[in-house]
Amino acid sequence: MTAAAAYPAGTIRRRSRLRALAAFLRRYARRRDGMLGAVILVFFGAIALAPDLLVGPLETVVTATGARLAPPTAAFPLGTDHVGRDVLNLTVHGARVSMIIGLLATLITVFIGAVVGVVSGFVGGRVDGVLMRITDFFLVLPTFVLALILTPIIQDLVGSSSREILGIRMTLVVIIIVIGITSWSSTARIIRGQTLSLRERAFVDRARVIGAGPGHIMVTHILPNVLNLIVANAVLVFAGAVLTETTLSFVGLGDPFQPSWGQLLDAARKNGAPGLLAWWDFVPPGLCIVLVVFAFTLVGGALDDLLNPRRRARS
Amino acid sequence: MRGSYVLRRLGVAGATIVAIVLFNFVLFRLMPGSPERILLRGIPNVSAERVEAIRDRWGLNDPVLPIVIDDAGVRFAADNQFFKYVTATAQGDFGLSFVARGQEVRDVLGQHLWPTLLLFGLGEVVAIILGLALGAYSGWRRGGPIDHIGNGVSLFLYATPYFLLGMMLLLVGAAIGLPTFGMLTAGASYPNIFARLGDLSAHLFLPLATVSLGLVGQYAIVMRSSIVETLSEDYVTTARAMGLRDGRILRAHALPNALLPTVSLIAINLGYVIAGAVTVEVVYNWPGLGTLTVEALGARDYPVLQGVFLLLSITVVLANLGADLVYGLLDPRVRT
Amino acid sequence: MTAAVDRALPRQADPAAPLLEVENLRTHFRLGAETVHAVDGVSFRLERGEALGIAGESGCGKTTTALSLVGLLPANARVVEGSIKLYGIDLAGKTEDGLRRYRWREIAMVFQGAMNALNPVRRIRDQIAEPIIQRLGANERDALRKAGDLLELVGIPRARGRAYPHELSGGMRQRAMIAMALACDPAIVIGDEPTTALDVMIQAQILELLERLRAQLGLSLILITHDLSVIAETCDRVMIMYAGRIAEEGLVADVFEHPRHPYTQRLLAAIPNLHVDRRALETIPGSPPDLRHPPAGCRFAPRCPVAIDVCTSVVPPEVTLPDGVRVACHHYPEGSDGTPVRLPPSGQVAAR
Repeated sequence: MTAAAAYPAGTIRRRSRLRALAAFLRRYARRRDGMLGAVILVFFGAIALAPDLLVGPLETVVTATGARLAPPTAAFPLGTDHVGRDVLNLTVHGARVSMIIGLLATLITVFIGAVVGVVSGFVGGRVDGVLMRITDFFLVLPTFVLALILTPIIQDLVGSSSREILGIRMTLVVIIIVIGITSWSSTARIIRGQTLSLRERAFVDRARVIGAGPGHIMVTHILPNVLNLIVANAVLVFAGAVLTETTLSFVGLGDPFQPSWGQLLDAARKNGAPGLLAWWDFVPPGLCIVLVVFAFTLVGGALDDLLNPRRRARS
Repeated sequence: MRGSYVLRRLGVAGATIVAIVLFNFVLFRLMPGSPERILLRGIPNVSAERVEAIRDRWGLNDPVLPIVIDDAGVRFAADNQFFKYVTATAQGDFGLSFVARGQEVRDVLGQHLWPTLLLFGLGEVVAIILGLALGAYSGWRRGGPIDHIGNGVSLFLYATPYFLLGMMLLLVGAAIGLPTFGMLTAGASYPNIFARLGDLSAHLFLPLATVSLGLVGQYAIVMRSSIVETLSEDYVTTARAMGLRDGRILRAHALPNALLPTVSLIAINLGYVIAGAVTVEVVYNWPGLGTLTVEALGARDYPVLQGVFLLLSITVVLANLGADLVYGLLDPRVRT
Repeated sequence: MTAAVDRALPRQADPAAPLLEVENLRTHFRLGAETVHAVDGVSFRLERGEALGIAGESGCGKTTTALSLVGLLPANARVVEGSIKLYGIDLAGKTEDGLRRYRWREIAMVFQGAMNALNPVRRIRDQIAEPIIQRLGANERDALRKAGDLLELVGIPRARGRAYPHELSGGMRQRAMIAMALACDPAIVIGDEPTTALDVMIQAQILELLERLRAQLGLSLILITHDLSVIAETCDRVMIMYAGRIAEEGLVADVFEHPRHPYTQRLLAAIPNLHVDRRALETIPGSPPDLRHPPAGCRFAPRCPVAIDVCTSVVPPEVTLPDGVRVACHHYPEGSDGTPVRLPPSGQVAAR
């Protein structure tokens, strides 16, 4: 039994959709684990939106004012790194980088996964066969290793300019794209499963009888009903994207001029912080990563429980 | 009956490996510029002959694909990079490392292979034993204190990247005086094999603890939910109705059924374990494939990176194949 | 009628006592802060060689009663009162370890839907042999041989013992479960809906098998089912349960031909009858009570077409009628002659 097969479906109109959303939010608010996760995510989201307001502009080697690798004091509540930058400043700016990369990568992943899943499930036949072969290939490949080898190649192809897209430097844009094109396969599988079961529902036949084309049916009928599934899946994809970006940055593929949490950890390691017992250099960004991923897992679990009626019945 | 299942699994694995090799070749073609640009990076005023010599050495003057379409029409070129690549790979020739001048990638990989095997082999074994035992116990005594604590700890460990765990353990280890760098103490000489093994073990301790801790949580969680699900099955009620002792029920009825999903998850997990592998070694400078990968990344040593990609991907495919076969051994329903 | 077979009785057994005597059994479930009174004062007796059918709607407590006998209740359930005497030995007060002696060797169970009741990763013959090895201390070779004998006894070719459960049909799996139940030569076999998941032809075969085994081995049977036709065919006595209590109990012939309790009458009337003019199916309006807050007095009163005032306040006592049938209904007080009360045409509930 696939999780997809158990999700409720049925074309609903906009007003009742809003009402359904409100009812759903009320039910969600009753779950302590989901609310804890949501609170954590809102907190980090808020920080990520306007880091300059909170701690000022990102400190650089040039603008650093503290002593090297100094433990926390009143002036520097989280201590300083190996060139004297305020760790609090770095961590808050890192939030913006890590969260935005995660968000954009998730959007790409979910988009590709949903398109492949819906088309594959709805059209079926040879198209489905081909798309699923490709999907399975990506599923079997260790995607992290793939990302690991694709990223430097594309980064070199793109060059080391300081061009920015949406305020993100090119090196990191490459990471976003690479994560996006390597992580979509499990999303595609899940969405395809749900599409397959939706295809047999009456409202699809009705649309076909009226003469609606496949594209129209896919967009207006199938898509709204897999939205539940997409959202629940996207939350977990986001967590995975954050972890992947963190790891890629940690192995040196990040950008020291726009440090994410992973990149901060990389710098800390390269400068021997753990061995020098300078915990403040890596524990703050590390803790943020753990909290964010943990929060996503909580939210994803709560969403899954709430949206999956079969699980609801069992609990 | 049994044979066709095995054959099917082998076929899929084989096809995937072929696809990986092909994919690797395509990646090779994606490589920016050409090796000569990277090798000669930063060296000014390179003569054209030098560039040409390097292009020759790396076989870059040959046509890429077997079919060549140019002004002279369509022709078949037997001497092309694709064939050369495939035959070379099949023979285990992965080319020469950019960085370690002249050294075969194959040799470089080989040197770094066994420290990784040692660390991860032991780490997996420890994690599997501890994780399954912990999970089975938590599932059996559901709701007990061990269950709650174990669950919370596992969830947190799951959200923690392996390398972060490694850095924290390293800090603790450095504080209490454990060795934290490399596999053996630099420049040390050992009176006998035991002294050497002792030093190796001391250096192995922290990385091993990191790898095991990182994995234990997942295995415990999976095993626990598997056992909980199994215990609610009717055949366990039948076993209790038979008056069998708890230990017997757990061992002979619950465990064999609970192991089934656990085995497949362990194999699927292997892909992610590899991600952790890369990073944990780097934290401790453990001279394995992980450290090699990170160094090669920094130096853009593409032949080495390619070799690592090939090696790791094929390992994952083989691990999945192994898990499928073991699953076939354990679950008779799959074999027919 | 049934062959008396010499079985070794457990050490503490009283040879003069009835095989099984249950008195005032009460089993309650804890659901959060509330208590479900699933079985509330059930008493009955099973003699050697007898087949007792326990019938009733889902949720009436028949399975819980059976599970209470062998202490197989889930963690949130407890036998809170009553005695369960096997050869005079009270099982109700025993610990898990104490009960273990009697499980399977004296009382064995055959569950419904044997697909899940059999371990999918073990061969049939190993599962049948397991209790023989574990409980009777036999060695593997003897146990496997005995398993083969049992398979043949239930009509499965010996060689099929090598199969796994998913390789057998539903009917064969049920036979295998019966063979497994007989492994330790029990005195009582409890069948919990043993034929419900099977089609009618296979059902008949299984029932015929149970009959044959009863005659051959002198088995005593407790058959739990909601299907009254099964009981009519196989059992000597029948016990009709409703909402955790006994409504009526007696010989099958007596209860089925002259049902006394209004519930029994309605139950029997609800069976579609091929031989009568076609009418609408008779049903019993309403639904069983919520056992977390059972009604005072008779639990059937809210749905009873002939309920009187006393029914809603006083629990009807169990009265034994002259022909041996026990009934718990205020229309049959102590000393009643047992004439069945006449029910109005169906669909009407008594005005109160």
